[in-house]
Amino acid sequence: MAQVRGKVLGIDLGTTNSCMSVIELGEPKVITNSEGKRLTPSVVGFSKKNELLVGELAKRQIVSNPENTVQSIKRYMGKPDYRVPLNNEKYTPHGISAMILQKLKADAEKYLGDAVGKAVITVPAYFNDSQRFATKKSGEMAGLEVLRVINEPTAAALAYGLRDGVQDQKILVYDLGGGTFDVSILKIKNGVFEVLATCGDTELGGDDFDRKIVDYLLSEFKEAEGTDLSENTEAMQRIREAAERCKIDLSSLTAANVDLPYIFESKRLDMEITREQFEAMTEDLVKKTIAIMEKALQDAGLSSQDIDEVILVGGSTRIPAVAKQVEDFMGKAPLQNINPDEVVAMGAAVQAGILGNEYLKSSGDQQIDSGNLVLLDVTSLTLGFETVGDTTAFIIPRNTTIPTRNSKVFTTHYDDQKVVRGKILQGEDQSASKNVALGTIVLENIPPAPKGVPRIEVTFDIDANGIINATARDLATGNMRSVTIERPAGLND
Amino acid sequence: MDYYQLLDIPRVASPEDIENRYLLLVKKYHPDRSKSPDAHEKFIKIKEAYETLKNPQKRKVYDASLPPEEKAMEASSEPEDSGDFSSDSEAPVPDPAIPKVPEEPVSGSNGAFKSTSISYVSFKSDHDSFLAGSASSSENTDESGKPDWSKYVSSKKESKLHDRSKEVSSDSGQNDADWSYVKVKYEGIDEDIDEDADKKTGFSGGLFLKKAFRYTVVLVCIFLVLTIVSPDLVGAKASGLGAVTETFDKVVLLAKSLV
Repeated sequence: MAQVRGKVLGIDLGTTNSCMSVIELGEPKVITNSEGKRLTPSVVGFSKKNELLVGELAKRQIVSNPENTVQSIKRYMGKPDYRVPLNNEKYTPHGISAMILQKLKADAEKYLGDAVGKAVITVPAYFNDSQRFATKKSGEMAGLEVLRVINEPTAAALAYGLRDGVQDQKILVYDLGGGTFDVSILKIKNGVFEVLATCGDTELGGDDFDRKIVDYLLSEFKEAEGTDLSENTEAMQRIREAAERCKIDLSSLTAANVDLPYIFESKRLDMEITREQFEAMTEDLVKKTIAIMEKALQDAGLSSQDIDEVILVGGSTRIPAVAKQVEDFMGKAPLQNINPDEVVAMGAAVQAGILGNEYLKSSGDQQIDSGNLVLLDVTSLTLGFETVGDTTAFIIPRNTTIPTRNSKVFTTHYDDQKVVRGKILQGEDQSASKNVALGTIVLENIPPAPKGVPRIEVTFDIDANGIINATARDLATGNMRSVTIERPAGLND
Repeated sequence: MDYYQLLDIPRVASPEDIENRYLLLVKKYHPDRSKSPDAHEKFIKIKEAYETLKNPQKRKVYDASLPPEEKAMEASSEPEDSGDFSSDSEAPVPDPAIPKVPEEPVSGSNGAFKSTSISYVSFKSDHDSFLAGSASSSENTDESGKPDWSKYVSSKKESKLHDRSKEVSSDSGQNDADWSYVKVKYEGIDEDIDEDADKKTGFSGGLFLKKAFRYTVVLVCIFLVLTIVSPDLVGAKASGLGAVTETFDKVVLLAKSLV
């Protein structure tokens, strides 16, 4: 095996599938897992004999052992109180993800013939601070030093840019994964990949397309046989699996069959779904994605004609209706020669290369080395401070390039107010309670003064890792209070 | 330090030049690329400068808020009246190295060091005409790394200023002029400056010594440029200005050990 001491692993920790890549001879190479596959299903389970199963093996027992199998855990990352009961224990979502990462790490070490201690892990661009924190934590739990958590569409842009020669252009990345959807618009110029705008929905993905088929099957079955199968766990698992297969089939066939004998007692579920029906069922989902694309273009101050290339990322972009709608809206065909399942992991490896000052080869005209490439990502959610009356005072708007810093001056709202307290908020809502709270700032010992007189400067600072630092300072006394974002207690397990 | 000085571009830089400069600096100072502990700060400042200057509206407002540039412009006929040589309000920083100045006009809002009071006070009254002068010399701002004398002067001072910029919140760099112009235009004042130089360097005069001193300074400046351009040649680990300060420290240590 070649000497690959200290390789940084690029990991796409997906909702449905995960993928990993490293830089080899200046190019990102996807690593096969111990089963010889380039994609590892993001499924974790315990076999009937209490063995830990991750990946394909776990996926196989979804139907036979559903109570002991977990899939699509990414949807719950960052939710502090969510627990998965498994094998007589309660696991946090990041704990489950850590098991997936552990397997990836072990497989990578086997492939490379050397220990792997560092990684760059990707997240949806629209993940909030808690979700990113949970992702970083899961990496650490798996024994990896997470050098950076980067956004999936940006990673895809990096991989694409490196491969095709980094020319000056504007690209739109449409990333529809298993559970999340992101759109990012980037400007590539002089080797600088600058994100202009990013928009998304962390609860919109291939799983929702599956859900539409499941609902259809359930309602049809109920009508035909008079039974509601939704309460039956085992039946539901089988139906979900069949729905996913059906969706995938409909990407290449115009009609697909779902045949589940003995779905309930002696009853059989045998139905055909045409592509037309499927497209009708899922039309609203696709429309949602187009609306988000529009918003991203608006935020970037561009029209669809300003975009030079459209890149489709994520397995769900294989759905013909999706690709077609994107093409219709953008007025140009998306690039065909990008592997939507692997490009994000490859991009993570490229970023790992940039951070490690590695030699990166570009097959285009330009000779790229990591000294000539830099990624300027943005914060995807507005950062604000809670003020009186459940209001959010926005301090750092979304789509601001990071690292960044901004301050605003606040004041007291009643006479002789000695303490100012407010939550640090992430989100676009005017109403503070509707945004995600990341922590609280408390500034005490404000000298007595009539209301409206004290000047309290609140500064938010976001570093290149997306880590937020908040400071509150009484401008009169110089009294300062720095706050590290407190994560909700549930994330600290 | 104003935004133009920070980005090292002339006030009349085109939007394209501003953008190209920004991209260059981003690749240098983004925390992903620079291991320097102040990369974060530096990057934020560069970004702030770029955000203001790239927007024509904001740039206009910003330009109006700036004091006029301390630049020279070509005089029409005879040398300007020497004017009064009273010291200005700020204590001048003694400049240990006085570069030999080429004939061609030098541009860039590099005024990064405090000059001797004598030299630039005489310019102050004529500031409007400077802008025209600096505009014509804007082509000389060379970003490809070709040695540009003004860069020698400013780079060293920038590294000094770099540490001081944290304390000095208001822009005190405004009053600095690149007094290397003085030599070119005002032969009459030459002696004054030489005297000053002599006093500062402790030499007792004599043309030969002065010349030798200038040559030494030239060599030092070349050395500095090399340090910035290819730090490994001089064994410095950091790049750019960090290499300069590192090498400077090394030289100082060496000098101390020799003394």
